[in-house]
Amino acid sequence: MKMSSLILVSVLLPVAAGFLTWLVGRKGKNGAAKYISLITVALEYVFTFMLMRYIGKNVTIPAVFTVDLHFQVTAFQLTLVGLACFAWLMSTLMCLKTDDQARFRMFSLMSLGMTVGAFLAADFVTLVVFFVIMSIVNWFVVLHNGDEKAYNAGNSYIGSAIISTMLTMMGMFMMHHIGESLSFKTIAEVIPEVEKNATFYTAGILITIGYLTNASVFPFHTWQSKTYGAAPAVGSAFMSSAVSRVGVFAVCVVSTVIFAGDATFGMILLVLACLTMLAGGVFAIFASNMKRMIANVAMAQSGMIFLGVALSVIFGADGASAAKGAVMQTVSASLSVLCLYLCAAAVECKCGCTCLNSVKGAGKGKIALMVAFIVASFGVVGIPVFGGFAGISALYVSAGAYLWAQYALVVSLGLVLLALAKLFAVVFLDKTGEESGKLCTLSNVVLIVSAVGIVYAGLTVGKLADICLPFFGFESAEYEVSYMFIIKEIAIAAVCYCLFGRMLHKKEGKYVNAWPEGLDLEEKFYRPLFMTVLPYIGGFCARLAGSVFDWIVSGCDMIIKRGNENIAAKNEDDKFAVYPKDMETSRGTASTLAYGLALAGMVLVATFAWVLLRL
Amino acid sequence: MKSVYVLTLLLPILFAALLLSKVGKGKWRVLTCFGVGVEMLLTILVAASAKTEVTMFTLLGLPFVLNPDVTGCIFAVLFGVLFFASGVFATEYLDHDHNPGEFGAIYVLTLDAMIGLSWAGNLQTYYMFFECLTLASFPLVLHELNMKSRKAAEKYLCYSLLGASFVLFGMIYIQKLLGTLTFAAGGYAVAEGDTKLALVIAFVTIMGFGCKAGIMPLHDWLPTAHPVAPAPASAILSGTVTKAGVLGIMRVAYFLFGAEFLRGTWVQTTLVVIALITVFCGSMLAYKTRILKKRLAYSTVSQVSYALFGLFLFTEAGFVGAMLQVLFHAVCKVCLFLCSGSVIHHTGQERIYSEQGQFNYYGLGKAMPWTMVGYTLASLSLVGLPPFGGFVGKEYLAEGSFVALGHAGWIGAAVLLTSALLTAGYLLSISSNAFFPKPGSLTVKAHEATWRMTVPIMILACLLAILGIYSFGYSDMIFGLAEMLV
Repeated sequence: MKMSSLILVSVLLPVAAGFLTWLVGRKGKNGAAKYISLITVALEYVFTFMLMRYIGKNVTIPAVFTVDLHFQVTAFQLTLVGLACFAWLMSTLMCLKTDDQARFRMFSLMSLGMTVGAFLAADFVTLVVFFVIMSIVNWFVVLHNGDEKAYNAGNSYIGSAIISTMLTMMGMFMMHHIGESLSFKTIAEVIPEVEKNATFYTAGILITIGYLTNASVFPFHTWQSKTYGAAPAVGSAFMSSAVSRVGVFAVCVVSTVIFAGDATFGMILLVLACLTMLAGGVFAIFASNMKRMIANVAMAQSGMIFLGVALSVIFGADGASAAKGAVMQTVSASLSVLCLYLCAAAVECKCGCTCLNSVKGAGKGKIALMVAFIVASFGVVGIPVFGGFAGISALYVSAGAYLWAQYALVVSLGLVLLALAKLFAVVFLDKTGEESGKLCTLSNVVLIVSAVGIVYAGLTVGKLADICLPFFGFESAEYEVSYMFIIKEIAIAAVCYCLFGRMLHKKEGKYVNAWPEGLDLEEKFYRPLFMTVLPYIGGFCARLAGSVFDWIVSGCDMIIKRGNENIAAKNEDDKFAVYPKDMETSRGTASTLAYGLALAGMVLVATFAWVLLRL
Repeated sequence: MKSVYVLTLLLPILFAALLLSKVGKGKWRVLTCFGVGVEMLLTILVAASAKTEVTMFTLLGLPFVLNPDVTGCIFAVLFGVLFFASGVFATEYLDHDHNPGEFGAIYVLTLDAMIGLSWAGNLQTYYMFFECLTLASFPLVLHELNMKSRKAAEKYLCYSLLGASFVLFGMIYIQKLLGTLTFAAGGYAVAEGDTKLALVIAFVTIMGFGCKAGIMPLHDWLPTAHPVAPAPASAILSGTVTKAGVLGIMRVAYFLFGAEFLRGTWVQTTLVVIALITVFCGSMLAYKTRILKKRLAYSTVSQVSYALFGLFLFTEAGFVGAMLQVLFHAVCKVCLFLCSGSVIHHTGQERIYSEQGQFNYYGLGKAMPWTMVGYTLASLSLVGLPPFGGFVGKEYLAEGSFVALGHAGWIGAAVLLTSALLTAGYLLSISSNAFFPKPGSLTVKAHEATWRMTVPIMILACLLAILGIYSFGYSDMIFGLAEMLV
């Protein structure tokens, strides 16, 4: 199959299959719908393998009106596609036995197609086209449960998505003006010659902000824990482990294409990455819902990825090991977060929700669940052999040049470790909860396979990262292994437990979210800003501008009637254009509106003719 | 060819006469649909065939000429298609109306005037049809014959005549300055000594046509007239009648004075600023408005000015963006107004939010799925999200902004995107709550409209998606036009 056909099929097949599953599912044939979605995801995997022979090649599909779609296949992009396929495969299998999910399956499959399209983009237009459709489609995934939480989360998600897209598009327009192109390759060639002025930085940063929002980087993260907390756990699984990686991919593109070796940009990204890591860790400790807790862990993991990206930008030609760390962390974080969410899905399936008070002891007697949870947690905190170790180790060593960044990494890991330990204690050790039923074989298999994936990644991710490095402009790189961060993170977790241990415990027998309401960035800042303050100011200005002409008319009216108020009283003409019934038969047209208009028209024509003849 | 032109312009008068006669009372549906359908086919026929310039008649030495060039044909076909879609919708919407035949007659006459001005070969012919359009569309606003509609019609008439008087004033001087009123691609040279006067005249004439296009501060007739007119009338007023103003501006700026003459002058600067203010304020006012059709009317104020902004940039990208915006906005807005009509017809709720701030359309997505799907698709396109048609137009407008204004081009792009954000806020919030009602909220009681209402809506919505994805060759036509004019 040709490259263009292969990419088109990869993108469009899930969309078509999505419609098909919906149609079939609506007719009550859930069995067929399940297998259609499973086969589609499996086929996506096959297409990913087939695309491997096109690594390093580009293709243009002139399908969309005057906007050609440009795609490229690199090892890094293909790795992301592979991760996405794995995430969808596991999620699909996890909810395979659930009926009445026709709409969810449709949007889930569509999301896969759009995510693959975004990962294979070779220019910013193609990227944003798929990014937008992906965001809209995922909105339906978020809204799936139909409860109040989903409603609020959906609003939060789509609001963030639209605002971030608009910012990205603004940046794109500016960048197009600067670089005369939006193709990654062309921009990379043009940028070294471009003057690095305010417009250039504004353009690049606007593009970046849009995608940082998708990757839930502080302070653009507010939608994330709400969304992943409200969506079905399997939806959160693929959104958190694959969809949010579109933002990571895009920022990697910006870092390598627009801001390659730009220390200023690198430093901004580094600060944001550190804040994200810390915020993710802190929020995870305070969360009282399993899915929200994992969402915050995922946020901290995103911060770690961006730590690597930022360091590779700052170090320029010497940033290979940092870039490698970022790639390794991308792979392992995706797999670990996926596995954690699949655990949450298993718990949700048995308990009906993932609130900590409802999942107490839910994991007791479920070996596969416990194994998967432990493996994923080890992957997240960087225990050797498990996925995260190599990446975090490389990042820890690279961050040595900026000790504050290194400390931020370690503190974040400590906080995450503490949060996961709390979660483990609640789900597997809490004796006050009731024991739920056993998991089905398929769920157990899915959990074990995803856990095996993390171990496998731990063993092979270094080699994979070497293959991906050319995307960042580096050849293969060695990284230094360090075990110090593990000791430090455990120490920090212990210190934090001693200092804030009370917040982790139950209050009056219940787990509560101890995070102060006044510090809710979305409720206290973004919503008032975007929903009240800006619309008020904008509305005031718009009404002012819109009333100017009316004021002029009123002013003229007042001047004309000045001193004659008693004579020229304003009269409401309620007979305007309405005539008595007998008028139709009489010849009284002389007093009709039409007659008046005809006269006015004749005068206009006569005036026009006279003036033209005089010219 | 002359006979085809004459036939196209005379047939609506025949249909109108039939609709007003006793024959039309029972057959108004067939006659209206057949009338606009035939007109649509004739516009397509003219667009597809070799076109010739035809002088209809000469009055006091003034030739009244029809010359359906590419620009005119694009507009005429657009008007034909949209009138047909809206006309089919009207046959159901006005089923229990007090006088549907009269509406049908006025409706076909409005289309007649629209086609006439699209094909006009010079400014006096354009002006004649422009005035006919005002007089023909005025009863559409008046149709309900209640106090509100009378006031609105009065306002519409006053604004239209004010705009037309500006145009008339400008036309007299254009004849003096350029020596002709005939449209020619690229325009005519202005004598050096007349430059200042020519700029003033260009500004006045453009503002005159701008009144019909709803440019600020002459926009106020739109939010007054649209909510009171029947939905099919609002649809064509918003989707097509405003475009008569846009076409007029295009004719004056690109076919009489020429882009070269106006580029870089105070006229361009002023018009760009006015257009941007209108884009922002229109969206903002739409966002703040709680009445559905009024919200759409303010949206029109904003969206038409997107096109005007593109035209005032006098760049190829700006022109292409403007033409695309004209096309896609027209389809979007007709679709949205038909949806709003269908919703109001079946729910009886004109307000999006009640006086108490309660959303009135919760659960409408389930009650009227096809209507709301159509509404949502049109909204996505109007916001300018890919892959819908609106995205491409807005992309070119932003590009044009940078080309024309250099580094200051970000101001234009920022205003366009802020407006797009507001558009998403005021349109998609309705879709969101309609499909996914707030749990525990009172859902609306309604049922889906009949096929005569849903089919035109769905066809227009699908058209937006299809034309956004694949161009069917019309892109080349617009690019060719831009190259020729700019």
